[in-house]
Amino acid sequence: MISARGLIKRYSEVLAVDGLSFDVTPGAVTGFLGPNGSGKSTTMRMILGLDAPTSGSVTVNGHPYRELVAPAREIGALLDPRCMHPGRTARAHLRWMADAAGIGRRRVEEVLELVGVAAAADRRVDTFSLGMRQRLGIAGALLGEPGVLLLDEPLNGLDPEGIRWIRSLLCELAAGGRTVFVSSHLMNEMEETADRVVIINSGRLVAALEISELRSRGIAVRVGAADPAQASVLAEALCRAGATVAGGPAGGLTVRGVAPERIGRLALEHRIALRELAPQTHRLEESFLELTADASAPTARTEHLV
Amino acid sequence: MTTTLAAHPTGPGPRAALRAEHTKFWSVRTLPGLAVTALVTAVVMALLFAVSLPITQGTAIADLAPTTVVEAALVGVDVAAVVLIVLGALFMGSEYSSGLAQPTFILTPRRGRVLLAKAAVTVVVAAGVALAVAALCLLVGQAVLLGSDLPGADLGDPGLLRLAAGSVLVPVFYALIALVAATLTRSTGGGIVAALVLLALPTVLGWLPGPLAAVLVPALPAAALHSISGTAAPVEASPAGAAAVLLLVWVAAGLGAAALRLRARDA
Repeated sequence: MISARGLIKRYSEVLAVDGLSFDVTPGAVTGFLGPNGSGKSTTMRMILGLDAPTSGSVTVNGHPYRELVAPAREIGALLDPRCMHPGRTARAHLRWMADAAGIGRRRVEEVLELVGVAAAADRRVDTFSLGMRQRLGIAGALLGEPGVLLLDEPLNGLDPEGIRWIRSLLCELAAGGRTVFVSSHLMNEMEETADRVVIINSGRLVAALEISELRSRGIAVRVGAADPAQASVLAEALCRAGATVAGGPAGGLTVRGVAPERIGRLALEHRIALRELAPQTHRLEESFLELTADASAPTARTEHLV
Repeated sequence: MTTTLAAHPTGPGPRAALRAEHTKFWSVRTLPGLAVTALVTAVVMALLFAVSLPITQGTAIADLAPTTVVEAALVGVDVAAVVLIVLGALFMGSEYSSGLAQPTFILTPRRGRVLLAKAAVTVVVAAGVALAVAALCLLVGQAVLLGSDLPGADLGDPGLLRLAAGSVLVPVFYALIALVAATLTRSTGGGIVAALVLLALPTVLGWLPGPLAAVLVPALPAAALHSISGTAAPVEASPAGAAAVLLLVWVAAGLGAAALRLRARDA
């Protein structure tokens, strides 16, 4: 469980994080989305106690990071896979980490196997590709078998096989009841992985919701009444239900903000026969871009993820 | 939340940080390599200092006191100090240049522990190298005398032993200062420059007008180190006990400032 409340970070003149509040709950992969420079990495650095918030707070399992007794057993993190000494071998890198966390050396061999780096364990890190460093970094994050995992852009530099591997690993970890928080600047990277998303822009919360909700929120549905004369009645009913309705030719309507099945039920309640009920295929990427494009007036929703 | 914490009532302590820094030190080539370099360079230079005495002093070795020859060889320990300054600075500076500081401070959020652990490893390594160098320098001096068919120096001479023991403190102290300065500046170069400046400062301050130098010079670590090894100039001299306290004050102030800086700044 990660909880941010009114989190603010100011670097001299730049407001990198501007009043963020959100919860990341166990048992799910939560995507942390936002364009480059929106404050994702700064937020993650504050979660891990590397940077101190200017105001507000962020806690891991109810405690500020620097007050955790055994941090590596609570939360495992990978911020930047390039942050390794190039002259150390993969095994030695994990060994000092295990030493610092008070974890036995046997666990080092386990995580090397787990991430598929065991065969290269005695090679120096400077011979590793970015993908192998990502794997090694993830091995480091898993050392303490933590209940919370925090990964910053873990899909960067990975080949398709590596991406598949991380996706299944994250889903496995979440299915095991862990809290998994993964940042990305690409919505379609998260689309198949995340159950929930926290979307930020310019350091402010744009939305925190389930992927399915995000999907239905942006989706447009073409609706046509069998009798064009009834179109206005239907439009009125849909507006009352919270939809945005635009008129089309021959009594056709373009409806947003209400799921197709709800539209069908509304039509049934008003005894209106339909000739068309067609959800338009809509990429999540487009919903994401629509949400983050309107930075001047973000539809800031501070509700917590269930 | 509290239940997860209860599962780990005791976390890694200061010894975990010490073990981690020990592992870090010995798992790269550069740091142990510098320790070996310090040893080899110091012994070679000790030999050079001893055999070049006729040129530097204008007197044949046969006409010098045997202890003077051995003392000249002991200057090799100061050469080791310069190499160990690089080692101390690099041990902390490479954390920042490689980005390793990030996982380091994530795993050990009490950053002062990282500093103390690195300081402990640096002190032990520097002391080990300096002891070996001092012993080898004594032998080199003696070998030069015996090789010139001259009677050897009395290696049990109290003055000579005091000089050797005091010399050992020089690399240890300046390597530690280099580590502290690298922490304050977050750079290897900054650590090296600051330690070398402190090493050269007595000479520079010696050029100041007498009264000013008389106030500043005795407060420098060099004055304390010279007082302990029995080679203090009149302006530097203080009792060995007072000199030891002065050195400890320098170390404590340096570590304290570095620890505060680590805690206050974003990593």
